[in-house]
Amino acid sequence: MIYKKDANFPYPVLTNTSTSYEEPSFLLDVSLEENTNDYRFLINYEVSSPFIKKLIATGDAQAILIIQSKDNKFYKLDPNQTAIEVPKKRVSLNKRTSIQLHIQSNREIHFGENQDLTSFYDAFKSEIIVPNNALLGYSNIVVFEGSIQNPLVLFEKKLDEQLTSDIRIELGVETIIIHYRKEDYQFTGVRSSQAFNNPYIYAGLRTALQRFIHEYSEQGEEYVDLTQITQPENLLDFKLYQLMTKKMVQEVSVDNIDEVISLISDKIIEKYAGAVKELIHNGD
Amino acid sequence: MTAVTTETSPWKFSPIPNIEESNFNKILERFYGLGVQGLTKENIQNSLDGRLPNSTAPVIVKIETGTINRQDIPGIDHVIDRIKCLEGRNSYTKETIGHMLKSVNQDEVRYISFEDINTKGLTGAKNGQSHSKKDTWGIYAYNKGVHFEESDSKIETSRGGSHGVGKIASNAASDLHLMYFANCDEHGDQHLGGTVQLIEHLYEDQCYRSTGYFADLKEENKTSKFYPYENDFHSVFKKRTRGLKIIIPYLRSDFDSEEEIIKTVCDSFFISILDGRLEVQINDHVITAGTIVSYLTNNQYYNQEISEMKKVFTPLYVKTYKNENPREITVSNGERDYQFKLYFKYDEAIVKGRVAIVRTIGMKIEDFAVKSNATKPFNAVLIGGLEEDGYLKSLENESHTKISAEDIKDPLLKRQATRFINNLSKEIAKIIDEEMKRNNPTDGVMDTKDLLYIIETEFKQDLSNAYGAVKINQGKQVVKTTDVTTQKKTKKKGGKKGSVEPKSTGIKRTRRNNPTGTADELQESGTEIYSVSPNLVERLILNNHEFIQFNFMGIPEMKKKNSCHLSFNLIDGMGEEYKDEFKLKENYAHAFDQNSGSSCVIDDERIKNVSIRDGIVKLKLDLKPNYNRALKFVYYVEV
Repeated sequence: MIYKKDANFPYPVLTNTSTSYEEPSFLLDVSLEENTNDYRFLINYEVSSPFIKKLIATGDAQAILIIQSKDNKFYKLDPNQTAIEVPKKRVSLNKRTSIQLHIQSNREIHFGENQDLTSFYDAFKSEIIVPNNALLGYSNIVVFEGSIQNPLVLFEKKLDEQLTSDIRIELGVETIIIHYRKEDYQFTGVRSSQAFNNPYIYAGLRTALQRFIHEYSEQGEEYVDLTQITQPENLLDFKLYQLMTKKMVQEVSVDNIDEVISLISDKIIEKYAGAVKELIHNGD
Repeated sequence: MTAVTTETSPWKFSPIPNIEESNFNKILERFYGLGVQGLTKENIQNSLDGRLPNSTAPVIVKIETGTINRQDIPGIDHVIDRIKCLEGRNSYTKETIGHMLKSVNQDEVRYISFEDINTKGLTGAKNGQSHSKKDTWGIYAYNKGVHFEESDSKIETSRGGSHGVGKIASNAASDLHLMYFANCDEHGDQHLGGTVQLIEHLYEDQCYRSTGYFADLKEENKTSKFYPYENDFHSVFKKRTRGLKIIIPYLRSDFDSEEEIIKTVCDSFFISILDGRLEVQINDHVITAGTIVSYLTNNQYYNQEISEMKKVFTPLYVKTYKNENPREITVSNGERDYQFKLYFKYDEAIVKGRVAIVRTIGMKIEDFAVKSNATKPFNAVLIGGLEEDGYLKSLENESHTKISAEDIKDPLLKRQATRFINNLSKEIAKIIDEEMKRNNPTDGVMDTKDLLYIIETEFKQDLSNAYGAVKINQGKQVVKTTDVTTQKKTKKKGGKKGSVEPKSTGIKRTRRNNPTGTADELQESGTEIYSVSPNLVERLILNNHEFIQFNFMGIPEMKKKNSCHLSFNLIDGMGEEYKDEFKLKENYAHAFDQNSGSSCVIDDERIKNVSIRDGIVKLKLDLKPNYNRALKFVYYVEV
């Protein structure tokens, strides 16, 4: 559970308002990355007490991230862990979602060596023993404020009746251009005509990513480690780079290209299939 | 027509030499199948046809459903007598007669009535069965399938009805195939007529025709003639203002739906209503140009999701008709051209594209599906002029629900009708095509905003909430909150903390309901209770002892106080307090005041008379074995 108000514990607890610790602070900051399947919470916290820090480092205590929306979800963090990945279907984010970091003992903790407490405890602290699984501190609460979708303009279409093939995919300066030989191929006028063009979009993304791999992979390699390359100058490649890094893609290769497409886009094929089904269902 | 009937009965059946036809009138079955929608449509259409010429006042139709006593239905016992001697000769008629017999014994009878206002009513009722084309009463009352023609051909063309079967729609709505019509003409003469549709039958050793008339019979020049009764019947059967009122007793229960009637009125007559040519009252509902939208936007009547509008399109039609400018289209039947106004709306959200084909009287005939464009995302309303109306009327089926070439016998006309319907599809398809192209340019940016995007997420560090029940205020430990308004408020609410925002830190004045003392008693004792911020408290459990230290230094309320009472409330992590759950005596063996070195009395869920020295309270408590060391508290101090 998340501690929203202070209460008096029968032993010293580190909080931002604790009176048991000298100059207490336990600040938590959270940011989020996401792709089609997962959320990644990036966790940044700062504990004022060297005593508590040491307990975490040695594993005698452990940080636990609590995400509370409809119910509470707990995620134990390793000493140096700064991110957790949670499948989207396991957690829902809304305006009532609150996040807090707790520090919990992993064994009995003797407070005798805790130099960070206020003088009140000087007389007793050698006697303070906090049991296993006890709360040693809790952070401020982080509240989910909402999110905005920023669409990327990545595709253009053109009708070209002189085309020697039915469609042609061209990688333009900053967009992928799909040329159609016939207007019919755009499904103009069919309800959900956009979704019927999704297979072209898919093909376009594939073409663009193939060139991306070719351009940015090391000599003789067939993959690109996105953390290892500098931001592309080509505008189209930069958009793809931006999209992939924001969607938590680390590596793009000839082998995982379809997986990458599914991570960076929102259900291209599912929406296409849905539109076909609906058309069949509503057919004359 | 010669007719000899049982002298005393107000219902007249024509005698026949023998029974030839053993079935009910076939049209009954068809109208029964059209339900209350067909009934409502037929009657309102008749009222629109009967509008006063040279008048701009809207035709008003009052539809009423209700219950009357059987005995108030004119001549009902005679109808029931006849029904009792009907003899079914096939399973269908047997079933129908059986159903009638089941219904006759009700003492209270459901009915529906349709009354029109600003209409002509029927003429020449006084002349009875006159066989004159001008006496519409005679035609309406005593003939079936004869459709009286307007002497003004312009009115005749725009009339809704043309098959002359409308009245039977009302018979079909009654369990007994029974209907009445009350008329008041321009001279104020009020008459009541009625018909009942039975089968040919034997009654008191005489065979009779299937149709019975509620009418008087008079001998004139050796032939007998029907004359209507003057209307001095029950008020349900009265029509006091010029116009016609249809009354249908024994309303079938599956027709008895106010909601369906309201929907039918909106679905079929939205144009007449929007144009101010028709107002319909259905019991307490009034549908006019001003109110119709509130029905269309009401979930009770219409699904508001455009993507779910697959069978009923009225909300779309109304939007299209109100918001779009009409364009002219020309449709040829091969022989001549007809001009229509088309109101057209293109909207990708629409699942099924339909064209409302509307007659000039404002009645929708059909949700027309354009050939191979039935699932195109559009909505349209088509209205013609008088000539177009005349042509459409010739294409309508009998129940006014479809234009089709099927019912036309003349092969030339039939060919023309087919061509007309095909051309209509073609013309509208052209417009659909144009609009599609305009809305979906072949070149340009592709809309992929639902597929390719980056999500920016924001989190807020909520520091204030973590700051305990009461905030530290610029280093000050406490700000007094005991202003007069707060006191009054807290007193009234008897124990709740004042709803005034606490300006204080450290301690907060309260009226805590404690198990034994009410707030008023506490008030009498002259003490004040404050909740103590966790920031002022140090608490520690060592072995079997609990140490609690309160620091009241610098808090004005606590100045000059030498002693206090302390009480405890359980609190959980969410800040929820649990009153009365924690009993001091069950958890603590002893309480020692470390300032004074003496024991304290635990009584009344309070630790009493604890000394305050230089603003500090120091308490040592001996724990009982059952004490739960994980509990957390908020503390209250009483001084």
